Amino acid sequence: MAKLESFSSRWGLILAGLGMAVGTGNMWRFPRIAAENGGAAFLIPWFIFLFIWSIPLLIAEFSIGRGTRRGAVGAFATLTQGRFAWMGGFVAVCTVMILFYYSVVTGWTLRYLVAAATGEFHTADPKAFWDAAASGWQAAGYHVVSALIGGWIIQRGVVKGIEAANKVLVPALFVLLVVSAIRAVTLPGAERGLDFLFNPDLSSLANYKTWLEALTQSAWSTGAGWGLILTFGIYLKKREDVVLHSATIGFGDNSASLLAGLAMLPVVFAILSLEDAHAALQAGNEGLMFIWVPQLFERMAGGSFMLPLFFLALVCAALSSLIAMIELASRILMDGGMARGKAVKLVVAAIIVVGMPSALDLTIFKNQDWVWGVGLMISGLFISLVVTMYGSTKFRKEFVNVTPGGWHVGPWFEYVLKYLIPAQFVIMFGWWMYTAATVYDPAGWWNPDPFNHTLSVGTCIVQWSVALGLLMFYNKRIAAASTRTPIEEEQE
Amino acid sequence: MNGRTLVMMTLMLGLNWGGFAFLLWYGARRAKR
Repeated sequence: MAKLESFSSRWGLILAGLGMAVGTGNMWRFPRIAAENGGAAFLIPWFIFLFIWSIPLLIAEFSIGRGTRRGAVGAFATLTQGRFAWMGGFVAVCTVMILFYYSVVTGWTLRYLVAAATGEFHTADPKAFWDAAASGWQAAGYHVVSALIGGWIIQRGVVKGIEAANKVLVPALFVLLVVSAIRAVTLPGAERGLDFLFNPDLSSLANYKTWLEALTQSAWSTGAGWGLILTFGIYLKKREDVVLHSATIGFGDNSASLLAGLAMLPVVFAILSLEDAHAALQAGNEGLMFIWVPQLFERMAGGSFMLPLFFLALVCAALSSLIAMIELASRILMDGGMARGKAVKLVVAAIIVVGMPSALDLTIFKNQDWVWGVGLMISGLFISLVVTMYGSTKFRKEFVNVTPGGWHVGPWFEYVLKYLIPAQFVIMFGWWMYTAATVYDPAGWWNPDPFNHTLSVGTCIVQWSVALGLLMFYNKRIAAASTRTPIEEEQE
Repeated sequence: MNGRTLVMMTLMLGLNWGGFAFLLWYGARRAKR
């Protein structure tokens, strides 16, 4: 029987997990959302949700992957005797749909790194530059390059590909963030940014929106519920402590977010007037990073040296997350009997083709980001449900608490997965749908047209229903295909 | 920078970075045993 590849060391595994979790969202979403929702008052619920959403789901995912030795679909099929393979299918569809447009995002970061390194921003108009880079043939070209780089890494396998890449990308990302943060906090006027991030406006804690934004940020940022850690769990040795590693990844992701906040907000507030600083923070993720950041660094002492470093950090963050998603997609094909090389080629071809509309049209990009971003909350719910269906006590004893001398979880873990995560899902999901229906598109919230009602409830319902309908209809076939190959033995 | 900012900054960085550093250190120590 073929031997299953495993992460060669604890460090390799932790760096891969951190690379997966720390992405562009840590750098462009966290500082913005934290600053807009009460600064330090936001950080309190954000820290709490690490323990009642993210870490428990990471533990569950690691354990499912290691216990079943199958990707997202095959793991669900194994745990439910094939009945709910469609749920694993939905987890996979969400992440793969994100992968298709995340390659476009990675392409943007590459484009901006090139521009920063060659000094293009000295003369370019930031808005016009972004418009040209965001969508069209330039975006398409960099999207293809990103997919090829990601595919090249993943076809090399777990140790020579994922582990080797993350051993460079993740330390580089942390070092670059530390350097950027040091420069930012030593700017004259930086304390205004620090006040904005850390001065607690405790009245914000009474606002339900602060809590919901904090939960959403933790859920999206740590990669819990995406099926990615489940995929990495396949390559985990039996002696590895999933509880300790999940906590390390969760805390590491939070630490990277705070570093990004320290690198970003002091610059915004030191260089801009208060009014402009707020405008920059309200310009959305891409607006802040791709229109404002180049202008800010141009006006900052030492900025032309720092800007390429900053965008290099962004490339590291994006690429290390992209490869995790490519591995998830490839692993599902490999579970169906395909060799790694062929599976990766097929996935890369799919990324290039299916991601292309998002590269050519920003409206499609935004629609996909909305639909599958919110879809991830359903993925998180499905992971908690599959544990409950298997039997949460049995799962805890047979899948989680199996490492001799490792950290074991108590019955609290069962309560969190069984009750707390479904409850958090209902509230978070309901709030996003309510926001879409009352704020984003009150007149056409029901309309599924992705072009004219990009952020509607209707477009989500239709796209999820198509995915869920097909997955349920073909459930038996999917379950059989995803568990076709014999489970490979762990390498010693 | 006001005092409240300093207290919260120390607390948040301490909890998150401190927690991360502890977990890395603890994992490394246990791996050696």
